[in-house]
Amino acid sequence: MTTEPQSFREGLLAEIPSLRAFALSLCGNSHRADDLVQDALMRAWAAQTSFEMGTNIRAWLFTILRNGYFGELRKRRREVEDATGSYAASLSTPAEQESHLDFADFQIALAKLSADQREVLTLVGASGFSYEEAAEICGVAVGTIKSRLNRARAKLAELLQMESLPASEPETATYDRRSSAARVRAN
Amino acid sequence: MNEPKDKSPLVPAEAQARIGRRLKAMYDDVVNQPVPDRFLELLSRLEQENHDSPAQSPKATSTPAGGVKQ
Repeated sequence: MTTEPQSFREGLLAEIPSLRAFALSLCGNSHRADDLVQDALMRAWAAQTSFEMGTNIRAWLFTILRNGYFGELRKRRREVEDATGSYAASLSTPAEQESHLDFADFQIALAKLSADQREVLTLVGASGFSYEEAAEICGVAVGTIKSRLNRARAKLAELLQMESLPASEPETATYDRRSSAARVRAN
Repeated sequence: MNEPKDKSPLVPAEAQARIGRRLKAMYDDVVNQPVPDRFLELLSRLEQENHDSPAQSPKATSTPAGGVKQ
């Protein structure tokens, strides 16, 4: 029985990086993501008596954050018909230097998925939650998580394959420039 | 119970792994960033508010209707 190895505040603090990553994967905009995190932290703070120390604080916080996000999304749905479109338009994370193109393609493909598909991909694929935990966070059955995940992956694979064709062109283009220059010289 | 249309093809393991790696890379990119000041300030503020009005103690919260003070 280790009673509170850390305070509630420290527990929240430790989860902020994960919350930010999760929020960004949902909404695609880093400013909005941080607003979602702030909102979730405030709600978590207000509800701290309902949190049982020793249980999974990350899952608890993720639940609060995603409920906030999807609640807001539902409210806005009438105004913003295509949540996907606005996600795509709001993409703002600069990609890491090395695989710049890959990252951009991937983000664009991700933006074409529904928010609940992005959610499940992130929860299981990046945050490392089990199907059961993801089901609990999303408030759906484990079977729903599995089929949602499969659909999300299928769509993403399809999109990436489609986009890997034009995306490979710039690569060859740099080589082509050289070879066409060579060709010009040769002619 | 009813899964309406789960006829998406199973994604090949290789593609799944590729998707997984990219997701993780994107995610970790954010996870590894330092916590922005606004959140540190927020937590300090919330904690300060608790000190100012200690609603945390069980005694204080057990007066549901008589909250004249606040």
